[in-house]
This record gives sequence, C-alpha cells and structure tokens, in this order.
Amino acid sequence: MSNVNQLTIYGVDIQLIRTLLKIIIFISIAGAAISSRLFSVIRFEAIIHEFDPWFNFRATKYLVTHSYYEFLNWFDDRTWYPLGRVTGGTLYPGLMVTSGAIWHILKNYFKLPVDIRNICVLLAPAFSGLTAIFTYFLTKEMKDSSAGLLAAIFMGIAPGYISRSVAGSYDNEAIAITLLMATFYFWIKSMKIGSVFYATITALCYFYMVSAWGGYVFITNLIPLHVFVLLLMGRYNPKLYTAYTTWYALGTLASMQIPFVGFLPIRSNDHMAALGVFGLLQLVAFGDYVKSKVPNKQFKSFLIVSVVFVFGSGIAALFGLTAMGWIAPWTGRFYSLWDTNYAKIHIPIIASVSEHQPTAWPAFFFDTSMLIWLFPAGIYLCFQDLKDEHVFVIIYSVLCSYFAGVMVRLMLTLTPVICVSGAIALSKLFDVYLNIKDAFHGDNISISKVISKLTVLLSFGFYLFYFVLHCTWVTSNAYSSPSVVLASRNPDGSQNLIDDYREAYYWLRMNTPEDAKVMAWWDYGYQIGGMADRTTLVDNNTWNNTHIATVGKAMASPENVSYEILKKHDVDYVLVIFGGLLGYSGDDINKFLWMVRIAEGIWPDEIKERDFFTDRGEYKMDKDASETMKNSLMYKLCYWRFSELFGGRDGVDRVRNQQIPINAVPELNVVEEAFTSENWIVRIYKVKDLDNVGRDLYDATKFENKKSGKRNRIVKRPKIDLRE
Amino acid sequence: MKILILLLQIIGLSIALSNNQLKSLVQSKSSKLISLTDENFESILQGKRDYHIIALLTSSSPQINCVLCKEIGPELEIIANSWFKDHPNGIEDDFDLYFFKSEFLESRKLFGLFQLNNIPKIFYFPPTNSTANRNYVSEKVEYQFYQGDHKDLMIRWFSELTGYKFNLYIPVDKTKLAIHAILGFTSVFLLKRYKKYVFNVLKSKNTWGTLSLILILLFTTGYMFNQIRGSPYIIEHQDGRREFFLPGQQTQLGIETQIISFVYGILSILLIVLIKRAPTIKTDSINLLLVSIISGLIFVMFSTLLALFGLKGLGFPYRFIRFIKF
Repeated sequence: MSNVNQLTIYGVDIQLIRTLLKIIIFISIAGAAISSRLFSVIRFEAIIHEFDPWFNFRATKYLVTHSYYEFLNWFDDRTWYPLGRVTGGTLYPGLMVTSGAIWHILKNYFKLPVDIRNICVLLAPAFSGLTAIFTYFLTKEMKDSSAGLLAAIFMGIAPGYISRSVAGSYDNEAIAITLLMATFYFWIKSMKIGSVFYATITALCYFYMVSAWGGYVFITNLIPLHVFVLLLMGRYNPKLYTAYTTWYALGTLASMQIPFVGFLPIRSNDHMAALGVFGLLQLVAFGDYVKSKVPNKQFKSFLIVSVVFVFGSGIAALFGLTAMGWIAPWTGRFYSLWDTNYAKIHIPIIASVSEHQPTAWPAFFFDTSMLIWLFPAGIYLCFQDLKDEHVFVIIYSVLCSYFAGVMVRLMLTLTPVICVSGAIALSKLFDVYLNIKDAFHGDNISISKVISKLTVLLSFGFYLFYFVLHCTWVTSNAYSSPSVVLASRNPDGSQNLIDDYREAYYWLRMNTPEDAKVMAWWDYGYQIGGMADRTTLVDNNTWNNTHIATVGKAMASPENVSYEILKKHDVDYVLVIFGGLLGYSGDDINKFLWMVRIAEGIWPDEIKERDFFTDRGEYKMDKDASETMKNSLMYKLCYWRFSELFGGRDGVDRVRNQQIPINAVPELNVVEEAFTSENWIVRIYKVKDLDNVGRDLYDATKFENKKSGKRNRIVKRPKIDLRE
Repeated sequence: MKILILLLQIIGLSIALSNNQLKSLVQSKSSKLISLTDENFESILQGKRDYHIIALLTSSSPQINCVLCKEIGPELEIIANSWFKDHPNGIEDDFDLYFFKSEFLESRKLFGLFQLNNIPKIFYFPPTNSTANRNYVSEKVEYQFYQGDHKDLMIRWFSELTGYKFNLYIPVDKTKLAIHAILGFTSVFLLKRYKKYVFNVLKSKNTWGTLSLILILLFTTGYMFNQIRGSPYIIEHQDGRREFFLPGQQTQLGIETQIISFVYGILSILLIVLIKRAPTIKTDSINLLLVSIISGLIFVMFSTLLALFGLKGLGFPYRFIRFIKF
C-alpha cells in the first residue's frame, strides 16, 4: 500500500488528514462522554453523591491537608468511637492520591488553586474520557482502528459504565475501569509482540489498579486464565512466556507495596491461580526446550510422568498449605460468586446490600441497549478469527456475563467487553457495506447494489441514533440523582428539591460541640463524618460486626437498656431517618429488621426478631404493633409526636400505609428532641445527662411533665418578657 | 356397617385417635410425615390429645406455585424421619410427637377452617384435655418463617415448644447415587471407545463457540436470576389467563429468559448473515432481495424487543412500532 502514502488532497498528505480527523474524533468522544455525565451537576450542584464517596472525599481532604506519610499512617479517631479505625492501612489509596496529585499539579505548576471538592466531583467524568481512549486501543488490537473508534464512543456513553462514573460519584470504580482497560490493552500488546517493555507497563497499570480498587482480583485471575487456555490450545510461544513472567513478577511485587494488600498475593487463594500459571509456564517452557533436544518418543513418556507428578504435588501443596494455615481460605465475597446461596446463609451484611442481588434481563438492556444483541455476534466473529487476543475477549465475555448475572454491580465490568465486541460486529458490517467499490462494474453503477447498501447503512445509522437517545434518556433519568438531595415534581411540573439530609447535617455541624458523638445506623456514618464532621459509632466500612450489633441493640431495646448503652459509648446525639411523613421508603423503620437481625446474632437472648412482629407475623407500626416494637427506641424516636401533625386524627405513615394511633403516643424519657428536618426525614435527639439530683430519668421526666401542667405536647413558646 | 361408621364418626368428633392407634399408623408408613386430609383430620385433631402434633399446611400443585412450600416439604420430612429413627417406639413416659403434612387440594375444608390466605403454614398443637368442638383451631401455635437454614430454624422452634432434643439424619439418596455411578461408568466407557471423536469434538472451534454463545445468551437474559430467586416459569391465573411478563425491572419469569434470549439470538444471527452470507451472493437482484428481507426482519425483531422492554414498565419512551396501543 505504498501508493496510499503519496495520496494528497489539496496538497495535504492523506495520512496527516487521517490523524487530524482521529484527534478531532477523540476530542468529540471525550466531550460526549464527559458532558453526558454532568446532568447531576447542572440540575443540582457540584456535590458528592451517595455514601461511600463521602468517605473518599473526606480522606482526600485529609491527604491534601497532611503529608502523604501522615495519610498512610492515618488513625481516624472520629469514626467507630471508641475503637477508631486504622484508616491508612485499610483503604485503597489510588483514588485519593490521584485527585491529590491533580490538585497539587494545578496549584503548583499552573497556579490554579481549584477547590478539592470540584476535582473530586469531576474526576470520574474526566477519567471516562480516558477510558474511551484506552478502549479504542484495546479494540484496535482486536480488529482495526475503525472498530476502535466505534468501541470508544460506545464506551463513552454506555449507561452501564455511566452508572458508576457520573460527576459526583467519587468512588473507586471511577478510575478503576480506566485502569482495567489500560491493563488489558497493554497486556494484549505485550503478549502479541513479546515485549518486556509493554509487560512492564502492564505491571505498572496493574499496580495502579491494585492501589485503586478491590476488583483488581479480576485481572489477577483473568490474565492467567487467558494464558492457561492458550497453553491448552497448544499456542505456547516464547513471547507469551516473556510477557506473562514479566507481568507476574513485577505486578505481584508492586501490588504488595499497598499496605491494605500486603502479603495477600502470596497467601490468599484468590491469587493462587496466577502463581500456578506462573509455575506451569516455567514447566511448559522447560518441556519445550527438552522437546527440541530429545526424540519424540522419549519426550512423550517424559511429558506424561512430569504432568502427573506436577499436578499431584500442586494439589497436595494447595491443600497442605491451606490446612496448615499458611494460605488463607477464599474470601466470603468470592464464595458468594460461585455458591449463590452462601451469602444468604452466612453473611447477612453482604446479603443486605442491594448491589449484591442477581440481575434480571431488563437491567442488561437498560444498561447497554442494542449492544446487548450485537455482543453475541461480535463473539461469533471473534471465533471466526480466533487469534490469541480474541481468546482473551471470549474468556472475558463468558466469565463476566456470569458474574454480571449473579451480582448487579458487576454489570460495570461486563460493559467494556460488550462495547468492544459490539464494535467489532458493527465495524465488520460497515466494512462490508461501506465499501462502494463493488457497486461499480466498469463504468456502470449497479442500482440494486447501491440500494441494498443504502438499506443496511441507513437502518443501522438509525439504530445508532436511537442508541444515543437511549443512553441519554437512561443517564438523565436513572443515574443522575445524588441521593443526598432528593428531587420530586410538584403537580404543576415544577421541580421540588428535598434537602433534609444536608439541612440536618448542617444543623449538627453548627449547633453541637465539635467532639459530640452521634449514633446512627451504619448507612449514614460516612455522610455524618463528611458533611457534619462529627464522631460516629459505626459507618459504611463495616469492619466490626459486634460494634454494628451494639448500635442495632441500642435501637431495638427499650429505653432503659438503650440508655445504658448510649452512656457507655458517650453518645450525645441519636440520629434516625424517618420517611413516614413524605413516603420516603429508604428509611430506618424499613431497615430496622436488619438491625434486629444483626443484634440478635450477638445477643440471641436479649433481642428476638420474632418479638417485633405482631401475633399474626406482620410487620406493623399501627395499633397492632407488638409491645417490643412499641417500646423499642427506634419506634419511639421515629413516631415521637408524629400524630400531632394530623390535627387530632390518627397519623398516617405514608411508607407503610398504616395508621399511627393518636392515643398511644410514645413517651420519651432518656432523650429529648433536638432537631427535626423540614420533611421529617432526619430526626435528631439529644441524650439526657444523668439527673442532677440523682433521680431515675423516668421519674425526672414525669416530674417535669407534671410541673408544666400538661404533657410535653404543645410547642413551648419563648418567654419573651423574661428576656427583656 | 354404615351405622358402625356413623358411630365411629360420632365418637371421633369428641375423641381423637389414641396414641397407640397413631403410633401403629406411623410405624406402618415408610415416610413418617403422614398426610392429613379432609377425611382424617377430625379424628386426629379433634378433642383430647395425648400427643404433640406438628402439621405442615402446604401445596405442591403447579397452579398455586408456592416456592417456599417446595423447599419446606422435604426438609420437614427429613426431620420427621430422623425423629422416628431416634424414637421408633415413641417416648416411654412423656407425650409422643407426630408430624403431618396437609395438601391443599385434598383438604380444602381444613384450610377453610383455619381461614388461611397464604401458605405454607406450620402449626403446632400441644397435648390437651379440652373436648370442646374444634378446640384445635384456638390451640394452634404458628411457626414464623425466617431466612436461614430451615431445618435448623424449625428444629430450634420444635424443641422450644416440646422440650425434646432433635437429631438430624440426612439420608443418602440411593437412586441419585446409582444414576451418578451409571452415568460416570457409561461416559468413561464411551470416552474410551470413541476417543478419537471425543477429542475431535473437544478440539473443534465450533463446539466451544456454540457453548460460549449459549452461555452468554443465557447469562445476559437473567438465567442466573431465575436460578437464585427460583422465579416461576409462567404465571397461570384461575381464569386461564397466562402471564408471560412481570412488570418491573427487578423481577422476571422463567419464560422471559427464553423469549429474550431467542430474540437476541435471532438478531445476532441476522446480523451475521448480513456480514458473512450476503456479500457472497453475486447476483445483484437476489442480493438486494436478501438484504432487504434481513434488514426488515432486524427492524421487526428490534421493535419487538423494544416493545417487550416497554412491558416492563419503566416509563421507557422509545418504540419503533407500536404493537399495543396504550
């Protein structure tokens, strides 16, 4: 094709035009990827979303205000009170270090002092642009650059990836998918050309990935599996050996530098496949050498003996070391991927998280639209070529389809391969039908050929147009809500923002002492730490089940039992989420059974799940509610003075559609109401101090109520004349 | 004869079967989970009882399609059999314990008496001296189902109520063992006999290709969801109406996996025909015909897919063809 180089248009070299066009396309793809992730910033504001991102944000703030070593040695005494958390050693620092580095570079080299919050909010969209570019390179290795460009645009706007990378969703996955694509690209590249250089870059990307996300185990197992399958197919060659051994040796050593990972790569079974394939590859290389030196027949017997020996000793070693406790058994999450009932029975905390549920078919179509049916076609085309790199895509797709089917959150790792394989199929189609050369027979144009080409091109052009509509619709409707601020529509269609969370957290920040301890269920721990900056008892890093159970017990017990727990833990404020007034279903009463269950796991004699149901086994809050339920602290905190809102009639809980009786108002003795947000979503109570004349708090409250003549029903008016 | 039966029935109304009668009944059966029907429940439950009773009210009929019932039944049977293995002749100086299972289709009257509107239910009837009419309705204690290992939870509840200790003997399924042995033997034999063919199949690209594609199609259409949640294959209403699609993004039926994987598969095949087959046809008119037919089919199938997705009800606004007017 040497004459291609000489082609010029208006005197400009066609290669140059091609490069220019490619750059413009990349910029537009990155632009599309970033801008479609900005819905939530435009609709609400630049705010951190959800729960986990609040912790990452807080850790990043700590990193930019302290030194890196202080960050790694960070002992956080403001969570898990009174235990504290060895935060520096129990997190994946990649995300925080990335945004910290960007912050420093902008500040020191460009003299742009950007607020760290804005960097955190916009980090995920920025990295999505990079992901698209790495997807381009990966797909280019599979087919050619036209498939690569298609894959890049698919990856840029596929909702399956957007779901975890909208602006504000400052989570590990935000950069992890970029690194996943980068690692895979460099792996394919190094395996193809057997280059130590590219294998080293693979190891570096892998190290970055390990520092950023626990899902790195996926790479740790996928690459060895790829090599293993290639070996089974008899495709061993020295390039493969070079690439794999370089990656494994460097990557493993590098990954052990992360404090949280430590010696896991040589002790945990999740990593054993990589080690096993490393050993196997040495043996195969040795066998290959022997084969080239000895006659065929002797080699055969050599092969059989050595295979049996190696296999046997390998299995024995695995069992022996596991039995002796040298290598750890598989982790719980790993089990729950294969034995789908494992989590349900053994780990209630994993089972209680909605991300860990299996995926029904609409989710797949919702997240990838038409790519989901281009996907099998692409895999079929990979089977037609079946070069070494295609084997990789095939293994990746089958494994990840399974994982995504078992756990909703793993849709995220399936989306890239759907994009790659869909792009391969579509670009093959365009290769065939965009080629207008065969429509010409000499000087005549074959009309029917042109029509048939146009039919296919126009219809698929239309589908691509629809694909963009679909992605935009899904992103805008499903994945752009910060969940800290809730949006609803008024009857006239105007937007109504419900900002109770921030209202309450801000109240805590401004009105409570700086060292106040707030008790709430673990879901809100990170948010309280991040937004209210107050010490919490438990948070979303669920490392200590007993401590979580303690909070559950305090919520589920009668006041006098709870008071003891509250006092022992120095709790100053108790915070509950109550959605009954507004009809917000994700509130604490709906989560209450999990609290009871987790508490029952530790104190089976004191807390019994059965007691919280009515005699007929119903979960009720109305007049039929069981005595245990009515006496529990959680019930009292949620429904305290609730029915007063309804002007003498029974209160209506809009989440559970139940009547809260007006004549059975819960009594509060050990805590007093401190704050209730506008829509009653967040209610905060102050824990009373011990009585100053040594009375029981029950007696003291009774006495107070008697003194004021009425029960504490009406709102106390400020006594203006006294103030003057 | 008839009078005798009538007499027996009258007596039966006030006095339950004696412990010895029940014991011999249980000893004669191979499964110790005795069936409780409209014919015999009066004689067992009514009146004075000098034994504990645990009864499972359930149904295995496909019309009711109760998933939990199918899980619970075998587990209770294991407990019942284990109990009688430990106590083949009952307990000497205390009340005996019997397990019953009542199938809805055979005991509509019983289910009606308890005014059940959902199943399964497990009731415990303690020994009693009361001879009041239908005393058992008020004497029952109901079991609450919780997540977890059902056998463990039930045993804990039973021993709480009766004060007895329970051991579990989980039987080895002999037929399963035999089937596995036969399967293993024949497959080894066939492998040995047709070694060459087997290796050819294993080496063939097509085998692995087909396998991978089938797996992908199943996994991306919620096969694992059905496996884990045990979703019913199809819902049949009493009036013969059938439901193929459940609304909602988080739920699905077994048949949805089949329909959707079929749609995906057809779409993929059509696309491959466009890529691989159509360009090989050199005659222009035939080529045009084939391409237009296939493009049309893709359009129709894709529209069907969108319409089906719309059935799941998410406010999804896009359709190519409106099959159903809303």
